[in-house]
Amino acid sequence: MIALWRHFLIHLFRTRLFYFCLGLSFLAFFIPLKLADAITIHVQEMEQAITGENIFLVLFFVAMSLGGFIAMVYGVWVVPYLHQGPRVFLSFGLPVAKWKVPIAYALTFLCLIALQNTIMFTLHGFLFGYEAYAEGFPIEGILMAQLFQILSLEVSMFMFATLALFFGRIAATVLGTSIFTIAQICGFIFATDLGVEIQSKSAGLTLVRHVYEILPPWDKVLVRVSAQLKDASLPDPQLVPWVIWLLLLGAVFVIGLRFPLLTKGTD
Amino acid sequence: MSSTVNVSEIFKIDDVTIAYGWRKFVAVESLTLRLEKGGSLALLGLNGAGKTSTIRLLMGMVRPQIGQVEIFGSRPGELKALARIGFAPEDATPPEYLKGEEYLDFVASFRIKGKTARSKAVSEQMQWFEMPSNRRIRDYSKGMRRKLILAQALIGDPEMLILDEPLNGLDPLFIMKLRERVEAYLKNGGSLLLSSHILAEVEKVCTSVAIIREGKVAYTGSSASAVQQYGSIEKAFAHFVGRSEA
Repeated sequence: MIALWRHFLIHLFRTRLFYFCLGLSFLAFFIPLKLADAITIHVQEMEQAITGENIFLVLFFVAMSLGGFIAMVYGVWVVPYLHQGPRVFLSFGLPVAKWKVPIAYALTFLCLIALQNTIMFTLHGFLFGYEAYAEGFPIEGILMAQLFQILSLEVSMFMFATLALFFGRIAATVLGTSIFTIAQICGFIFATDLGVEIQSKSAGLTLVRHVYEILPPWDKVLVRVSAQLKDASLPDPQLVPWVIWLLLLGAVFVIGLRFPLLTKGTD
Repeated sequence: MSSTVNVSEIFKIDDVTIAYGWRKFVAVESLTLRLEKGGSLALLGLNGAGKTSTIRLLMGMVRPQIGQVEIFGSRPGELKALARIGFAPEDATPPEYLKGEEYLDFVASFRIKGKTARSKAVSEQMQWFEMPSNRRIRDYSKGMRRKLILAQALIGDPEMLILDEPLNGLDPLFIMKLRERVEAYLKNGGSLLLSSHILAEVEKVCTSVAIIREGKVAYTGSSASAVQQYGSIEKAFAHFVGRSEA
């Protein structure tokens, strides 16, 4: 396992993705933080600066959006590299349990998320003062928000990686982003009265709702992150679907490794 | 199939049929092969005859539609079987972001216990295969990549070698050197399954041959008897694949 993880980390550090991720994370966090530092909201002649949980909510929103993009790039371009084309038979022949492979990928991707979050907290401290982490810092809320962030991004990464393994990189990009977008649109529709009204008249939309309900709950992540930042509570029942999806996608990924001829670009 | 385990048997393939895809394209039909410990078997056949499918079957990459396969007393693809096989596939490319030495170290980490023993084995292979240690694989020539694939198959002294077209891209001097290495490996009790179109090399290295024609075994027997009967492996091959004018 350690050898696999080490190898995947070397792969990550030697791809442009790593440096792209570093640069993009810096910019993506620095700009909104600088703006938040400069902006004062005026509400009914009251002046209010953006601070505390609100800033972390903005930061997690940026982290999730950026993380989603990185999950797609890592899942589509980095993960399948060793398991497709002219490398598949060499990888298959290694005497290593196939179930260890997705775990090593998950740990490697976790390092990317950790790196992203380190940049986020360092920049926050740099602009707002590191003493913000000492007193009144919502540590439990932040940890729970990170748990949601990690699970949802790992699920996204494995969704893209599994699709890329079975259908190829271009199809995985199109399919994965389509699934993600459909989940977001459905989440928006079904959360409104309009959605409930249309659903009562259309059997087709009821079917769409059933499909939406079994998809990973991407549209609810930020709501949960926001709720956890305000009032941390464990266990959160919303974690369950993420864990189930992570295990399910990991299992399908292992099937792709175990039966390489079922995957794309092998033969 | 008998349930008794023959300890001297490396693998046995009994009446196996392999078919691919929804249309069930038959790649191998009613194939029966054996390899005893210390033996060396050459798989010969035209392109598309079913040699690579047979190798994939032994590695556990494909499952037979009909028939039974055992390798080292296990099902193909099981870890305890993979740990005893050194496999050099045809047309494979090692990960290009690594240096040759790093790739061998990665493979060795699954085959050799102990960092010191692993480092020693890696540097020995690098030296023997005359590979530069400080160059990334992406900068390797075709021949050097081929050497690296052979080196990773040989690392950790596996009990069996499966070499699929191992000589592609190698220069004549290195082919001679490799032959000596494989001969020494066989003398030390190793077993070999070789798929190659270089019939002169097959005749020098392998003690038995299986000629596959359109997915079926057309001939199986010792190299010596094939040479005795037909004059050479090349002539036996031409006879069994149906191109006697070759």
